[in-house]
Amino acid sequence: MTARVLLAEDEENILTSLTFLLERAGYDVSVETEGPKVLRSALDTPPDVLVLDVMLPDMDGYEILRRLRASPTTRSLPVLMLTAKGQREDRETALRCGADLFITKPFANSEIISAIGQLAEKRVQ
Amino acid sequence: MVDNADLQLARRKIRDRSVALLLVGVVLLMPPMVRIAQIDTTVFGLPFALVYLFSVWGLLVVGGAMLARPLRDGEKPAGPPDRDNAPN
Amino acid sequence: MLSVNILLFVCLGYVALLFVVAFIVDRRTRRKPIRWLHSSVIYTLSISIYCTSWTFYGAVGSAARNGLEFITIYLGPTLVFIGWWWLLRKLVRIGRAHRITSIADLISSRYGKSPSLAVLVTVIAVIAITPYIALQLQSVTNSYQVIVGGDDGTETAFWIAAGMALFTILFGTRNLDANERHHGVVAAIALEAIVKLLALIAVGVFATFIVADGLHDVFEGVSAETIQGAGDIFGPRWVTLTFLSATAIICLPRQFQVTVVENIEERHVATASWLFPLYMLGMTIFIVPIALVGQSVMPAGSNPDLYVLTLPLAENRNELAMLAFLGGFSSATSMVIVAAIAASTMVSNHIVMPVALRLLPSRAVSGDVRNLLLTSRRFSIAAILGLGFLYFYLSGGSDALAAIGLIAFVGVAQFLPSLIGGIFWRSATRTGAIAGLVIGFALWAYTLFLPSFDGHFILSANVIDHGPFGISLLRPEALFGLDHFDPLVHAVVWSVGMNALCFVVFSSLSTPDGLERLQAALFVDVYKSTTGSASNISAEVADSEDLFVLAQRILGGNPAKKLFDEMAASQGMESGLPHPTDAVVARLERELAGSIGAASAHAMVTRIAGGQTVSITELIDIADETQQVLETSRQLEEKSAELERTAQQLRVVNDRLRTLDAQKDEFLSQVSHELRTPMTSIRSFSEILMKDEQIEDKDRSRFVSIIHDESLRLTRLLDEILDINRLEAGVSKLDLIQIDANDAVHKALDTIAGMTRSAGVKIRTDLENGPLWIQANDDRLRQVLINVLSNAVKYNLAPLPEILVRTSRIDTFIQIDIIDNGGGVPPELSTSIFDKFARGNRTGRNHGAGLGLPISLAIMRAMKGNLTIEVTPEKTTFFRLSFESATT
Repeated sequence: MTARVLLAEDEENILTSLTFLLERAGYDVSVETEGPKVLRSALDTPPDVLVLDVMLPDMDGYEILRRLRASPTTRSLPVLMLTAKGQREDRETALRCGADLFITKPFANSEIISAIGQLAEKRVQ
Repeated sequence: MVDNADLQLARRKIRDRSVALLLVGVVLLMPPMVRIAQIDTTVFGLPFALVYLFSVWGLLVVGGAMLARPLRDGEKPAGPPDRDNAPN
Repeated sequence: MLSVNILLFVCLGYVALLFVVAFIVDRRTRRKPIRWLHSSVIYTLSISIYCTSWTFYGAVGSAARNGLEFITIYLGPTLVFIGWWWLLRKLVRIGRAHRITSIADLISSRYGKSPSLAVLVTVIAVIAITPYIALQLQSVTNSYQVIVGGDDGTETAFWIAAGMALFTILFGTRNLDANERHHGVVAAIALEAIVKLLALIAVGVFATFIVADGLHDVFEGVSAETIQGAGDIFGPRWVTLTFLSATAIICLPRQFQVTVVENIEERHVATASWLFPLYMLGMTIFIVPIALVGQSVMPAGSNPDLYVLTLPLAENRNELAMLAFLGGFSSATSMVIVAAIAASTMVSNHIVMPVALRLLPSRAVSGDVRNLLLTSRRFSIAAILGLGFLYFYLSGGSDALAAIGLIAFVGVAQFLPSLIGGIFWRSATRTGAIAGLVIGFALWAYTLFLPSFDGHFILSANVIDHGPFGISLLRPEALFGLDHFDPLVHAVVWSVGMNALCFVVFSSLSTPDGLERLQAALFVDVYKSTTGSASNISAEVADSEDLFVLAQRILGGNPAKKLFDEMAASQGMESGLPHPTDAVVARLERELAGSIGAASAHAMVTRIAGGQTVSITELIDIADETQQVLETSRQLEEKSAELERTAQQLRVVNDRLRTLDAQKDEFLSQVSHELRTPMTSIRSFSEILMKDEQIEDKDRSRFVSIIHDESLRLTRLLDEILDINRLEAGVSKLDLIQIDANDAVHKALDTIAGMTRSAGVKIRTDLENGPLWIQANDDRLRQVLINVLSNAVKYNLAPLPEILVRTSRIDTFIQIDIIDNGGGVPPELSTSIFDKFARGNRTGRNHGAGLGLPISLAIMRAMKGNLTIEVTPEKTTFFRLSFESATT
């Protein structure tokens, strides 16, 4: 069974590259670009891994994560956070809100693929 | 501080006039000048001596009031009175 | 006849009213000063205690006996006040600068803070004013008896004296004010001043226009002799009386008290300079008419001193008689109260306190001496009124009022040489002052005071008539054969003349010590320095702790602590006692001087500080340097104020810098974010292209073009960041030329025609007629217009997108409005939209970095215009470019 990855990202070109990479790696990829829609999608049909950008329109990644952690169905959903800010405070905020992993843009493709793989594996177990 | 010189000049004038008024008072009220009052006549039925003395007195009051007025108005906004430069 | 009960009732009611006034004013002043009570009018009214019952009753008597001579008593003070600039102003200035508490304090301060001089002046003052107080008791007693009848005045006089003592004690010694000011008492005597003026004028009007038939009737057939008195009215006596009254208005302790000590603001003297003479004019204008009417109406042999009262009584005008009685009562009480306060201040400060302090162990903390001070003042007041009563009792209360008053005048005139010499003549010395005072006082007592008892006290009638041991050359009233003088003129010539002579001679023969010279400089040149600082204690030996103990004893525990804390704080100490520097010692001495007089304060501080004095040369140096020091300190003050201003400006700038720094951090963080986003794509795709060999050609070329686009986006971003920085820093000055706003709109629309066409947006224009001249940079204005227009295109999600471009001229402004039907910017974003990197409606998924609008705004501002978000009547928002219209 292929793991399903939900990409929450509003930059079109980044989505293109991630989708390409993940599909190549054999994941089932779905995409959301706006904060509230990400939240609804993740709550309704929880993916195996959520890749969550911090800067999303209308609701930021931290808020989405907080709400997901408050719901029983998504409490232990593996989440990889992406941010373009990359300062220490951002990392700390992400981990405090319950992110499993945290990657700063720009990232190496191998880095993000292996991180997602790690999370997907954890989910399967 | 700006109009220090003006202020000083104004003060000197007030001092001079005040001294002049004092001299006028002393001369008019002391002998021998005061003997003018002994002229034996009446003014509107009043003895001349009485009229003379009270007139000089009244004159001094009016003069004093006229001298004091600019000073009082001048000093009011200036806050504490002259601490700097009064002549002596 | 008025009944005793009504009279007592009215009197007590009146006294109660005075009480209430004094009480309320005292209370209010302590909390919050009442403005009008500190006015020059109140000040003037308080000076009018000069017009005692001697004026109220005695002036009429004097006019009846000696014609116009009485007027001299008011001409002297008039001349002094008219010439206030010369003398009164200086006295008031010195009084304020040196915290003078009485005339004894002034004279002793001037001559090196000499305790012996203070005692001498106090003793003379008390002896001199005793007859004067007796005179007030006598006149109130007489007036009381006239109304209620009865012969024995002694008992009445006793109760009057007791009542006055009580009132004075209650209000004169309630608290120990550092400046010896008594606001409540001053208010009460101001009220009394009005009462006595109104009463005398009322009686005058009554006598002139009701008893007599107007002024013509009053003066009908009155001879020149009656008006001018018998003998030569304008002779030596006229001059002497004027001189005496002029002296009295300065030297009487009570006048010194109200004029100098109670003075709140120096400029009040300017008003009093004419208002007080006017008041006296009002008081005396009806004296002659009352005297003349009284002489023609009243039965022969009635006392002219009481015409003011007996005239209304004889005509059965009881209310008027009552008013007249209250007027006389007011004149007497206000004088007695202030005189007693002034004298008790002197007695307690200069006699009781030094003795008490000597008897008390100097190092023991005996609580505080405030109580001692207050108690001694209370006893002094009682004693002074007691003396007055005693004089009344001994002299039999029979003399004409005027004669008694003049005795006091000559007594206090002995202060004049030391006083005037002290403040105008630097070389005047303590030795000279003491010599003058002693000789003057002795001659006064011998030639005038003792003879006034008519042989009942010390000098027998025989001595008065034939001289001691029958030596006729020593006859008190014709000393060394000078017998062709009036006794008063004789006494003045001898006492004041010898006093002045001795003062000058002994001053020139003696050498002043250091402190005397310093004080002389400070007093004579008072206008040059405002604060007297004349402590000569050598600082090293003064022990803070002992000084503190001393301050506690004089000022009381809390005020002393406050003072020392203040001084410690001014030395930059957080706690503990201040270092006993010269400044501290001098300040302490000044504060103490406010309570106990300069001489006592100096003596005590010196004693504690070890009594060491600096050398005379040093002192002279100090005196000469005072000017320089004052000047230097003034300059320092200005400097430090300037530094304070600079520091304040620096603080403001620093705060601004901090804000700017925070903004810059935020900006950098945003820039980093905006740069990382395209770089993420570039890196990711280039890695794909590098590592993945099986990519289809279609994907490959798509990825390459994305990399290209993102590189362009990066470049554009960097350009924009540089641009906005330069615009905001004002580095890039825009060249402004006169252009037509309509023209600029057309050019911009042409440029974006392709974009609007492809987006299917319809453009409408509504342009104002004629060229709309503005000062702008053509390229930059087009950049702004294109930016705003393309935003309107990009963010417009309406089904039939439409943009209206409108130009208009309102007053001197030219406006370009860009209105789209896409709903505009949400109002809550209308300010933040100009922030860098803010993006309007992000759901629109557009990629332009948020620098377009901030740049547009910066450009507009650089062209002295503005870019704002406005609201249409339909509540949609739109962008407005506004310019100042350029004149053609």
